[in-house]
Amino acid sequence: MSVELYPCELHCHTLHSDGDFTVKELISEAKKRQLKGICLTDHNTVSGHKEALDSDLVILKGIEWTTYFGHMLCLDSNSYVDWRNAVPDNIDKKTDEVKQADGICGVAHPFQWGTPICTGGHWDFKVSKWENFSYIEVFSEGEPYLNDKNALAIEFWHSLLDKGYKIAPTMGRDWHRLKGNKNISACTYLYCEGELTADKMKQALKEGRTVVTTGVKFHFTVDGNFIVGDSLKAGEHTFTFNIDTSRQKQVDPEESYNFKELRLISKGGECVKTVSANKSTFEAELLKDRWYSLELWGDSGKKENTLLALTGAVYCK
Amino acid sequence: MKLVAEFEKNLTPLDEKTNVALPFIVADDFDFLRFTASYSPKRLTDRERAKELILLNLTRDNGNEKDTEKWESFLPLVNLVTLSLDDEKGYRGACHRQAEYQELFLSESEASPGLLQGKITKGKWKAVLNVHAIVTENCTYKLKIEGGDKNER
Repeated sequence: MSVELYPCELHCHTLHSDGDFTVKELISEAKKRQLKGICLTDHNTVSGHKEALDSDLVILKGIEWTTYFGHMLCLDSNSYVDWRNAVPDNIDKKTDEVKQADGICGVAHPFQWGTPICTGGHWDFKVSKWENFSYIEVFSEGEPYLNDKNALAIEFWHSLLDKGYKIAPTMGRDWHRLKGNKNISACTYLYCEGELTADKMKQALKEGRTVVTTGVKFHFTVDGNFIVGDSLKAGEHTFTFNIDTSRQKQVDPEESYNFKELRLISKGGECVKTVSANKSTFEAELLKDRWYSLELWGDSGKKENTLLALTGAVYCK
Repeated sequence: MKLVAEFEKNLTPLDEKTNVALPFIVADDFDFLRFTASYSPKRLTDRERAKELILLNLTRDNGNEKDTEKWESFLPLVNLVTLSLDDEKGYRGACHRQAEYQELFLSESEASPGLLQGKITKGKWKAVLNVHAIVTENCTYKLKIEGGDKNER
């Protein structure tokens, strides 16, 4: 069975919390953007889930724990875990509870302003058990491109990879309304075998099979076989990559790109190799006990020399 | 309709980032509960105090000079108190939105957005004020809970 990449929006709100969309409107807008899956993550409630039952868009049901000390996305728990008593010093116990309920956890916009500008928006939880987290938003706050906060989030994600945690990068639009949307084709691509389902979305996040993009579809294979999230042996490997603008051109025809280079990123966020974006393959020596992520750089219509997409990591044994 | 419970609670910045439980008893067979929730004031109108709080926030969360120069873009600062609900069996949802006045409805077949529909069981319930931000010196929260049967809707 072949592996496909599906454009998804993993962080959505409706009028069941403070979004402007009904569930039906959210589904309609997602389809207009050719998204194949969304996560319904209203603040502190799952009351919208029943309206998502008959959707022909794939919906992974979740909740955004909008606590006083950080916002945490919890997807597909089979029972309610109380968000209200989550404090910085007990977050490990709380994520254990989510895990026991078969849910997965993601960090939302870790460097957003906190209280009172955006209540609880800044990640202040003291996490020891990072293994309880499947993903972290590295492009977020409705600004899915490289800015100060997203740069900090990427750096933080790298530091977790350095510590040996296999955690996926995601983009979360924190989608509340249409007004003010930037980079409207930005999304998280999830790798799934065959047709997309909610279970496969969850599995992709658990396995780290994600690509974060400002709009273009960008992905790579290693030796024609390995993909993001896989482990491979140290040594010389062949990377084959692909840049596909077909969805982006339909969804956001006003945007244009000049793709310049790919950067192979490893420990400490160091760029270990740079390759022209005009190529389609390159060789790289991968070292033992290192992770490797690919970044696509170039010009967008709005910004020059910027990060356009980044992949989750492959891991070298 | 019958009055089930009524609360008036004064909140201060010391209550920020806490949950204030307002327990009540449902003693009758109701088909629905109606909640009228409000708090005041919503906005911090003292501009100097707002600037002080914003700059503290930005400094604490690693803001730079570029961020502090545009402190006014973060106005107005507001109080945010949301309401969540529990019956004896567990969570009945939360209404997390900015509105400082909300009229909410809950029955076996219907619920206002945020709340989880289900039987209005007799017993101990709990409304919980989730105090996300108090930026004014005082903030008064009022909650009225009424119950009724389906003929009274």
